[in-house]
Amino acid sequence: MNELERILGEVADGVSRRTDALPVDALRSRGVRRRRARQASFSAVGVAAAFGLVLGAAQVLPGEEPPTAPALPSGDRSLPLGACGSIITSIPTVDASMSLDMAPLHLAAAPGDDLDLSMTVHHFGPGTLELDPATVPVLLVLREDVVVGWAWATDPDLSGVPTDGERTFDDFGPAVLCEQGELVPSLDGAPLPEGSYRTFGVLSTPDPEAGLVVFPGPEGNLRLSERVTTLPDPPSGYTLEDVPLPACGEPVAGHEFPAGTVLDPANELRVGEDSDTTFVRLEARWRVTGVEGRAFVNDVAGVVARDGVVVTYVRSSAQVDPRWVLEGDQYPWETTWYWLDCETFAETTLPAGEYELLAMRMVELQQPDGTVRTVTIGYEPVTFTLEDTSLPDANLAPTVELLACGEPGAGFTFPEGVDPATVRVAPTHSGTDEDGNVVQYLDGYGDQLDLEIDLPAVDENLTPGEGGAVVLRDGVVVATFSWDPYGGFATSRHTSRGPSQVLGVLDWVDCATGEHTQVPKGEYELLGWQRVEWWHSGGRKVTRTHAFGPTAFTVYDFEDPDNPGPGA
Amino acid sequence: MSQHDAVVDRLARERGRALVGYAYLLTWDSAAAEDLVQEALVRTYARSRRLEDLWAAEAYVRRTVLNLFLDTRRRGARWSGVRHLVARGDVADDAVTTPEQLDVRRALAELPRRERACVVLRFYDDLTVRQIAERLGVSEGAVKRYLSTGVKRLGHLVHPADDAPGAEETDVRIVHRKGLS
Repeated sequence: MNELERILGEVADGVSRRTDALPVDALRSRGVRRRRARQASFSAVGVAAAFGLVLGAAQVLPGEEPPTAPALPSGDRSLPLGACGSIITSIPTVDASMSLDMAPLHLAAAPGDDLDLSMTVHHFGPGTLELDPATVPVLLVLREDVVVGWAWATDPDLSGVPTDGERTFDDFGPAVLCEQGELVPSLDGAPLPEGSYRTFGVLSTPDPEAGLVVFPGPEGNLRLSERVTTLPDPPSGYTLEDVPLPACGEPVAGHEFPAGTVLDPANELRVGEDSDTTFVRLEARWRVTGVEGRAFVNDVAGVVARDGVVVTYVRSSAQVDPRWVLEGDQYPWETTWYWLDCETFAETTLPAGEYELLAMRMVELQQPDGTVRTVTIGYEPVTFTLEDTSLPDANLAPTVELLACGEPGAGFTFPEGVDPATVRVAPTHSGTDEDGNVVQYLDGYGDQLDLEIDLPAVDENLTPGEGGAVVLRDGVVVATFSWDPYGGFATSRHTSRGPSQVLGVLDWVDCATGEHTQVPKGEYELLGWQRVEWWHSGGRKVTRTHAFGPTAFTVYDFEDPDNPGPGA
Repeated sequence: MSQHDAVVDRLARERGRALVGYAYLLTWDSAAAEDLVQEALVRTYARSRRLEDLWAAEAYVRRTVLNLFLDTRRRGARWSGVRHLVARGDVADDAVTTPEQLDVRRALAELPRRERACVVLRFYDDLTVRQIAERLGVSEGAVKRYLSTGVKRLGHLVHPADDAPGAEETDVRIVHRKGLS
């Protein structure tokens, strides 16, 4: 055992001894919740501005915008996130040892009225969580992505939160206009005018370095209107009956929706372009006509057929935050679903090919008089193609046919569609030093080539795929290299200076002999390509081919007394 | 409770602290280490494919901890702007008590995450170069390079002690080292 092994062991043991028992019950609860959410993955997105919302026992009917609205703060990208006038399109959710919940997510109130809102900090970690005394629980209120106002807890209890404990803030005042550039609420602004707003619950803390830091909570909506009525709570224990669609293994030809199903061309259903053989993203718009109410059930079910026979299905969660649905208004909706085996219900991969989706939506509306009405919407069958995205899209990421051994490099060009990249080449050899430690020598000679391929910055960590390189000497290929997809040769990293990098080490195999040998000293050029893929922040897998070279490099000989190289 | 959940329960209760110790060597931050382990356990509970024995569950959690640690951008985004709010003090200082431990922490902190992970897998988990390459999904050459950089930073600390069998376990192939042998 060397010193490093001993020290690492001691540190790990010390940390283990100091660590409190993990909150197993809370962790299991979160995991099971996540598992269930994934199995019935449902997400409703982006609520149109013009609708009322119902929460708890309060209902808001749509109100007209006031004829003259006060000037709202304007967007300023230089302001720290969360400040009045800052621009927020999204805030990443934190779900770790500390999280912030907000209830209800969809708020309704008359302008100037206190909000019936609570935020709760959960602490799953060990010990006591101490919040900064300057922290303020704030509901950020946005119009067109700009923070225009807020409501805040006026006298929050910021004392420590014990492990597995929580602290609730529920003394929120009205939503008021904020002052341009204000970091945390310091003035009592005028009440925000009627209308619909987007909201984020956050904990805001002034910070001497960043100006302001926020701990993010969930996103919601706020509807301010003078017209508020009250509805009873929705019926409890409601469950949807079996959906009238063909079962797995049955044909879809000849299927008809039940009588009374609404077939409205305005109800569109699409299969997201980023869907692949492992998951599907459905995008839809929906509306109800001739009725309005509080949609406390909004369930989509569909079956997917290949060659006319149902092979799998999609299903959203039935119960969501209830929202007020206005007669005739359209609402966007989106869900992501991992393909499941029809019999085992385990996640599965579908073969690439053509599919047909037959889907319907069931909406349960609680009307203003308290009665419940079911609206069943049928969607036109959707035909879609699943491509095997484990292989790069040839249109976006062409394969490069490099030169073969002995071929001249003159006149070679990369195919259309490749992106440029730069490469650094270093002759290298590996070994152990006098202490037995692994060492990679980058000193200008050896039996390997070390490549660093610089790529344009990408959104997320990239995965190297197929690639290859040839080495030319005196304009003729003297060595060729190819590597298998996904990491056989390379790894990747982000760098602080911006571009991403792919790193790899190639064993030199000489064209003439086919043997793994020392690289003969001399002047060379390297020409190559690297396919990479990464998940774009929008959830789409992106694949690109990058081409590099010709890049000159020099190989030295350690035993050459006249020129042994830089490492000698 | 399912067999899967019961296994993960047992893992969390019996091995949770040790897992935090392992995660600490990657992060050198107690809070971040606990977060990594908690998130890894939540993901393990949440996974649809069942784990039915403790060994497999621990292997899965350790891999998840490693992957989460290497997932630098997302972790960074999650926690940017959060630390100011959580005034736990510098717990890491409590965990690192001796000058040599501080030396190691300082040296490892300067390494990129992947290189740091290689050092921990090699010198704490006792994995061979080949095993590290498989674990990280990179070439053996890349692992050697990372270890080379890490060892250079850690200098004298990786000198073998008198009773050390560790170096012999390294499966490094010494190739064509002209003039060095």
